[in-house]
Amino acid sequence: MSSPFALLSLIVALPFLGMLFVLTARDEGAVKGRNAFNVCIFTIIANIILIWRIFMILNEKSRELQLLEKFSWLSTPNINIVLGVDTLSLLLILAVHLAVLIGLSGVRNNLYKQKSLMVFTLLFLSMVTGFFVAADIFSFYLFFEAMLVPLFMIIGMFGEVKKQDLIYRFFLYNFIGALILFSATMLIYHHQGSTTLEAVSRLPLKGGIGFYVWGAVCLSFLSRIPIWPFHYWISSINSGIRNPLAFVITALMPLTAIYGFIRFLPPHFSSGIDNYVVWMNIIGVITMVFIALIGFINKDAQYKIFSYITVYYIMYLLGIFTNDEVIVFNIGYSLFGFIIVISALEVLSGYIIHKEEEAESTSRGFLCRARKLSFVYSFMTLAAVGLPVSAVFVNNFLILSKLLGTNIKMGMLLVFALVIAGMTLLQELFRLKDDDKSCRLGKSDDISLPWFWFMLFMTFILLMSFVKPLWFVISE
Amino acid sequence: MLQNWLILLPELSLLSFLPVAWLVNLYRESKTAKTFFTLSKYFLGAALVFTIVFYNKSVWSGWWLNSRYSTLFKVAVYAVALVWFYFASKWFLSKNRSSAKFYSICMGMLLSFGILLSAQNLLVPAVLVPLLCLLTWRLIPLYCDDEKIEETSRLYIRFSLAFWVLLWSGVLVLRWQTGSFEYADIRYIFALEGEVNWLTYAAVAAIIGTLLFMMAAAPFHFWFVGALSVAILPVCGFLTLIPPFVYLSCLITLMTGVFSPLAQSLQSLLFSFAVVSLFIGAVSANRQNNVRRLFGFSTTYNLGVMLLGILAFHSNSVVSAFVYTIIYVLAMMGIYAVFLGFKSKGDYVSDLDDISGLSEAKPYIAAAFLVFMISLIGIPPLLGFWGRLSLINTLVSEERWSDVLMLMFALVLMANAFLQIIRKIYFEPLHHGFDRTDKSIYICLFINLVLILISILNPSYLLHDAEIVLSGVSQ
Repeated sequence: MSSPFALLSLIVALPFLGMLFVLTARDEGAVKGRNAFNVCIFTIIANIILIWRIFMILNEKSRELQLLEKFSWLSTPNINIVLGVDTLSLLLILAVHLAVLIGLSGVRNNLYKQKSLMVFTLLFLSMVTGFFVAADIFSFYLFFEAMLVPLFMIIGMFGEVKKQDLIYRFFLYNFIGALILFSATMLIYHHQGSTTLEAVSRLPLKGGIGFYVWGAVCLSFLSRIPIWPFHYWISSINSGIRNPLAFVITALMPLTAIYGFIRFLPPHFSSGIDNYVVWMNIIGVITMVFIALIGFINKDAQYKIFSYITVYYIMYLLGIFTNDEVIVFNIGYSLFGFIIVISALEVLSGYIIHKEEEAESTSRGFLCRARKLSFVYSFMTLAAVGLPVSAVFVNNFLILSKLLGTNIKMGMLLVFALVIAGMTLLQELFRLKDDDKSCRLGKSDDISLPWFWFMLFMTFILLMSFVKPLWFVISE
Repeated sequence: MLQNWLILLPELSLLSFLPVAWLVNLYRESKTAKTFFTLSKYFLGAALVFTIVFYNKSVWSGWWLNSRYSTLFKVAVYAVALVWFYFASKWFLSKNRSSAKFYSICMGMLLSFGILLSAQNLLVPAVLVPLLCLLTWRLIPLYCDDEKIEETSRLYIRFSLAFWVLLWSGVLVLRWQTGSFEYADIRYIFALEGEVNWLTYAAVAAIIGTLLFMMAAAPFHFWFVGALSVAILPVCGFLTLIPPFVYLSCLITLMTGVFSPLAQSLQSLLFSFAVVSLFIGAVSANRQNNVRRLFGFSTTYNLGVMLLGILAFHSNSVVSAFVYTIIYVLAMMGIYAVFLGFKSKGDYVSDLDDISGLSEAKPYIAAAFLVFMISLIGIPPLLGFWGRLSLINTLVSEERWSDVLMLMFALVLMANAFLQIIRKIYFEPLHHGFDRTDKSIYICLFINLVLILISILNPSYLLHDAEIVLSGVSQ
C-alpha cells in the first residue's frame, strides 16, 4: 500500500519545519520563551493528528510495512530512501509524541534558553520519527545517528549534569555505536545492495560476515541501553538530569535500540546471531537484578525512576529475544503505555523536586496536602508497578509468561527484578504519602488545574489502552 | 592568432588585474578596502566566465590542455575564491587596511593555479610551484603583527627551497630517463618499459612529495598550521579553501595521466602520508586552545581522509574524493565566515576561552558553527554525511577493511576535538561580549547553511555534471 499525500514524509518534516519556525520566533521581553513553546506544542499536536489519520488508513492486522514511500537519493552509491510503517512503529511514534508533550508540560514555565530547548526537542522529534518510519537500512541508520546531536545538545545544555566529561563520553560511546552500525550497513549494502528493513532479518549472512554484521548490530544497539558494560555513563547521565523534558528525551534512547532489535533480528537464530543472544540474555538478567537493587537502596527519586525504566527496557529486550511475533506485538502495545507512564512519573517527580528545593523543605507527606498531584502521581505509580489500569498490565503478563516458559530460572530472576523495581516506586509513593509535619509544602503547591486536566487526559488514554490497545482507531 | 588570444582570455583577465590594481593603488585617491575587492570581482568573474566558454579550447597543446576535467576544477577554484574575496573584504573594511597587496598576491596565485590545472608538461609545475611558494611566502605575514609569523614564514621558505631542489631534480631526472617533459610521452615510455629503475622512482617520489608539501599533508603541515594560528583571517581562509582543490587535481592528473604505470608502488607512499595526516590531524586537534589552529589540524586530518580515499585512483575513488573536497570546502567556508563574527572590542578572537558562551551572545552564529562542525564530522542529515558515505563506500568496495577501521577511529578523535568547541560555545557561560556582526555575514551564513541542509535531500543535483566528468578519470 502506498502512502497518500506522502504522509510519512510529512510527519518527519513537520517537526523540522516547526523547528525552523521556532528559530525565527521572537524571544524577548514579555513573550520570552512563550512563542517558542507555543509553536512547539502546536507542531506536536498537529503531528499527533496526522499520526492518528495514518492509523485510520493502516491495515492493523498486516505485519508488513505499509504506506511505502520511495525516494531515489544517491546514484553513487546507488541508494534509495524508503519509508514505511506498521502498527508497531506507528504506535511507538505516537507514544514518543505523547511523551514529549508530557515532558513539555513540565517545562512550560522554564525561561532558561527555552527557545534552544524547543529547537532541539523538535529536531529530536523529527529524527526519532524518521527512525521509526525508516523502511530501508540506510534511512534507518541515517536517523539512528542523526538523533544523537539534538540529544547531546539537550543533555549538555539542560541536563545540569555536574561532570561535563560524562556528557562527552555519552556522546562518543553513542557515536561509536552509530559508526559500528554504519560499518554493518555498508557491509550489508555491498553484499545485498540497498536492502529494505524487512529483508535484513532474512539475509543469508553466514560465516565471518554474518558473525561481524550481527555482532556490530548488537553492539550498536546495546550502546543505547544501560546494560553492562554500557550502564555506567548512561546511568550517570540519566540520574543526574534535572530538566523533565531532557530526562524524558534521554529515557527514549533505549527505545530506539529495542526497536532496532525488533527490526533486525532474524526470525530464526541460526545465522551467527545465536552466539550473541545467549550472552545478551545472561548479561541482561544480571544487569536487571543489580540495577533494581541499586534503585531500591538509592534515596534519589530520579535514580529510582531510572532504575525502574532500565529494568523494564531490559525485560522488553529479553522478550524480543524469545523470537515470537505475537510477543513482539505485545511489547509494542506495552511500550505505548510504559512510555506515557514513565514520562508522566518523571515530570511529576521533577515538579515535586522543584517544589522541595523552592520551599527548602522535605517532600515527605506532600501528596497528603496536594490532592490533584496525589491522584495523578498515585495513578501513574500504580500503572507502572503493573496494576490493571493500562496496556502495560496485560501485555507484560503475556511477555513474562513467555519468558518464564522459555527459561524458568532466568524468568524467576526477571520476576524478582521486576518486583524490586515496582517496590522502588511504591517506596517513593509511600514516602510522599507519609504525612510529615516538617513538610512546608501545602495545598497552594499543588499542580494547576489545566495541568491536572492534561494529566487526567493521559490517564484516560492509559485506561482506554487497557480496554483496547488501538481504541482511537476508527476504521475506514 | 586572434583565436589563441581569445582562448587565453581567462588567464589574461587574471593577469590584467595586476597592472590595473597597481595603477589604482598608485593614482586613485579615494580608494577603500572595497575598491580592490570590486576590481578582483570583475576580473575573476570574467576569468570564470571565459573558462567556461573556452572549456575545451587550448593553445600550445604540448604544454597545456583545457578539458572538461581541468575546467571543473578551475570553476570550483575561481568560484570559491570569489566568495572568499567577498568575506575577506569585510575583514579589510573592519580593520580599515589596504587590501591591494592581498588581492594582488591572491590573483597572482589564482593565475598560477589556473595554468597548473591545465598543465601537460612537467616544466609547468617546475616553474609554477616555486612561484607559488614565493607568493605564499609573501602572503603569510601580510598585515600580521604577531612575532611568530616571521618564524613561520622563515621556516616555510627554507623548506620551500629544499623542495624546489627536490622538484627540479625529479623533473630533470625524468627528462634524462624518458627524454621528454611532456606528460603523454612520459606515460607512454613508462608503459612501454614496464619496469623502471630506482632513480626514476626517486624522481617521481620527489615530485609527489613536493606536491604533498604544498598541500600541507603531514608531516609537512607545520607551516600551514603555524600560519593559520597567527595570520590574518583573509589569508587563513584563502590558504585553507583554495589549494586543496588545485593540488588534489594535480595529484589526480599526475597519478592517472603520467605515473599510472608506477601507481602500485606510489600507492604505499601516498598511503603513509594519508595515515600520518589522518592521525596527526585528529590527535593534535584535541590538544589545541586556538580555534583556528584546531581547524588547521582538522584540515590536515581531512587531507588524510582525501588521500586515503583517492589511493586507488579509479573513477569511483576520484569522484568520492572530489565530493569529499567540495563538502569540506563548503563547511570550511562556513567556519571561516563564522570566524568573522568572532569579534570582540575590535579584535578577531581565536582562543577557545574567548568564545565561551557564544550561544548566549550570538545564537545564530553559534548555531551555524555547530551545523558546520557536525557536517565536518559527517553526522547525518547534513551534507558531510554524503562525503563520509561516498568515501567509505569506496573503501568497502575495495575491501580495505583496516582503512575503514582507521578512518573511523580518527573520526571519533576528530569528533572529540569538535566537542571541546561545542562545550565552550554552548555549555559554558559568556565571559565577555562580542561586537556587532555585519548583516552580510549572516546572509552568507544562511546561504551556506541552506546549501548544506537542503543539498542532502537530493545531493546528486549538486554534483551531477562533476560526477560525469570525473567518472572518465582512471589509471
